[in-house]
Amino acid sequence: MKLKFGIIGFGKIGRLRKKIIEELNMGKVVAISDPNTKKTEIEKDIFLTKDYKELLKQNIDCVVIATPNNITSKAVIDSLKANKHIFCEKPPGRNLKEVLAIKKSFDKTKNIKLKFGFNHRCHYSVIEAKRIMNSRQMGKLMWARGFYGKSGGINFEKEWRSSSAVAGGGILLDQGIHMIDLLNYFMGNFNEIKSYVDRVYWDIPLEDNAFALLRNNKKQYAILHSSSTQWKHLFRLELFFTDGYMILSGLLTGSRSYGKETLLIAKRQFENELELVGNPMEEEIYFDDDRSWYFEMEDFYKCISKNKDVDEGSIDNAIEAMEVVEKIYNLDSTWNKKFN
Amino acid sequence: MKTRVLRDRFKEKEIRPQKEFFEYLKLIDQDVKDIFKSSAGNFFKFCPACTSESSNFSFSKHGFTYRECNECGTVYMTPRPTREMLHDFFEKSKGLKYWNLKLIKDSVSRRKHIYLPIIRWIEESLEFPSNSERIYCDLYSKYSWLLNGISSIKQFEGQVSYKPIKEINEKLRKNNFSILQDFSDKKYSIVTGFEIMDRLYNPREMLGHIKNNMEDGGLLFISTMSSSGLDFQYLKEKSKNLVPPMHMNIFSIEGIVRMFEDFDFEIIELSTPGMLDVNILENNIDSIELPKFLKDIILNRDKYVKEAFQEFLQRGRLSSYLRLLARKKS
Repeated sequence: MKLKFGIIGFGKIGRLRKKIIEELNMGKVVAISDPNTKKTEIEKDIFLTKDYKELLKQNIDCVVIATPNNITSKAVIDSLKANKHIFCEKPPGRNLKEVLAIKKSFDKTKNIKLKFGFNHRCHYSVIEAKRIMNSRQMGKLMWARGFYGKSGGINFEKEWRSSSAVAGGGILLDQGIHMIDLLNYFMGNFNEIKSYVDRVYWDIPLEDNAFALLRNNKKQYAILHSSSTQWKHLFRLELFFTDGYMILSGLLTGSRSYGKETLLIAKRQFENELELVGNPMEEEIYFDDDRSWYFEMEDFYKCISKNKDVDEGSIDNAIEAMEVVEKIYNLDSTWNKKFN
Repeated sequence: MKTRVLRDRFKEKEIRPQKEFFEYLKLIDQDVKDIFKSSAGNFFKFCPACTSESSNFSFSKHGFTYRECNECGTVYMTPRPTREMLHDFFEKSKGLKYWNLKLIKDSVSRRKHIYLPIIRWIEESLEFPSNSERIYCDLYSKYSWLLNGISSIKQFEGQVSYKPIKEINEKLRKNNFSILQDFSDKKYSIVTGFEIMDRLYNPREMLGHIKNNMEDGGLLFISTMSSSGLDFQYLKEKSKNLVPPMHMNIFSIEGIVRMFEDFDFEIIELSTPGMLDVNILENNIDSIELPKFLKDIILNRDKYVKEAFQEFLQRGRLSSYLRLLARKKS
């Protein structure tokens, strides 16, 4: 089954998605909408427009939406109305209200596939950790600590991501949402949250650090720190179980600035093992490559071609993640007053 | 592809008690004299890993000659004893009998440091649920305790041991393993081969047989010696763990990858999770010439530096103990 794709937003990520669609032989990109792309940058037979509504009138089966956040929810809803399958980059909107509007629109459709790009679920370390957790070798998950941060950069303050009106949220919404999605993936249903959100360094109208404590009704605890003052890029997710632990560290990104992607696995040892108490034997798995972008596009293709429900990156996953994001913002009353 | 690094702490003497190990080597030495009295065996023109014809003499040990492949760096015995001679050796060897009865039986250390990590490795790599129709096959089984551990991970539809050593037949039967002397028509989902690739007369031929007897998507777990590893690189014929005529193929990382790719396997994991390279060099420090820098690490640095160095070797797939997990492509 060959699909006809339209891409809304042809920046770095839109271009990457096009490459993957072509490499996986999923079909052809026949239309692109982007305000800055020139005709000379793309193949002659691709329809190019600045207005995504024109793109939606073309003969296409599905769209990839890779726009700034202020356009995302409108583009998704219009694409749903146009009866197109949708792959949409995260975040799914600037706030929960926008994502709930998507849900309302999605519920009116039939057989349309809507998938959001929570691609960290498709990293090898996450796949492997989830599989080991599901096999119950580690016992019950007790608590988790997720740290995800980047350093900003020389143009950080001028980027659209630093504009309140365009982005809707700072580092928590932009990057921290991935870690929230992973905490939901491994634990989920957080019904108690305490948080601090602040702008401690960058001159932007959005947060550059968010700290949160989360608990669900299974009495599983999580700590989250999302930061754009993490001068050395960091991705680290610690999962502690009744019988052992797993630590996901580093991510294989394009820049390799998050370090090698590893999964450290160990079983707790304290029976008759004096020298190993608090220092158990560990195994660390290194992953040579990152296929996460490919895996999620393959899954999207499979959902369409086999008429399968979207399980990973579904609208429900998006709402769950946005609910946590919004609670973290709202529960810091000082920040909430300042931000609003 | 992924690589696994182990952080364990043990010494060579814990898994190879000195007195017993030397007795074993003495017996093997005598076996070679008794069993390989004449006959030169068959000349191997091609590298058993990558099939290149280009090689150079590497070393001799107990009358057996090893060459190093100029293409992939695999070290292999040529000429090598005929299949009949090898069969005779494995049947009659007093040294092997001693190894099986004294050295590996009841070794708590081997269980803890060698077998348990293998069981965990397999446990973490199996994705299917218990009670599914999967058949498990171990090749040339030697370690009954290890096999029992593996068979307790999942409830397999069937468990097969292909050509096990006779000392463990009874134990295997008790634990519901069928014993095979020839491959049956059944297709296996999980195949394991621990320390066998180095001992096979023709590993490529055997890999072909294994592939034919695996179901699509089936998993193959192997462990073997690696010629890319630090202790082998420096010790070669002085390595006490290289025991001819058993060890005929010492695969390099490049060689083993090439061989598995030639048979269209997908390599999921390739690791050298060895813990002992530094300790083994330390134990042989008087019999080898080492660069000053390496000698300094081994003789003068504390255990933390040595542990970090060993971990570095593992990360770079540069330890002499190799593990590979491959999937038969659909």
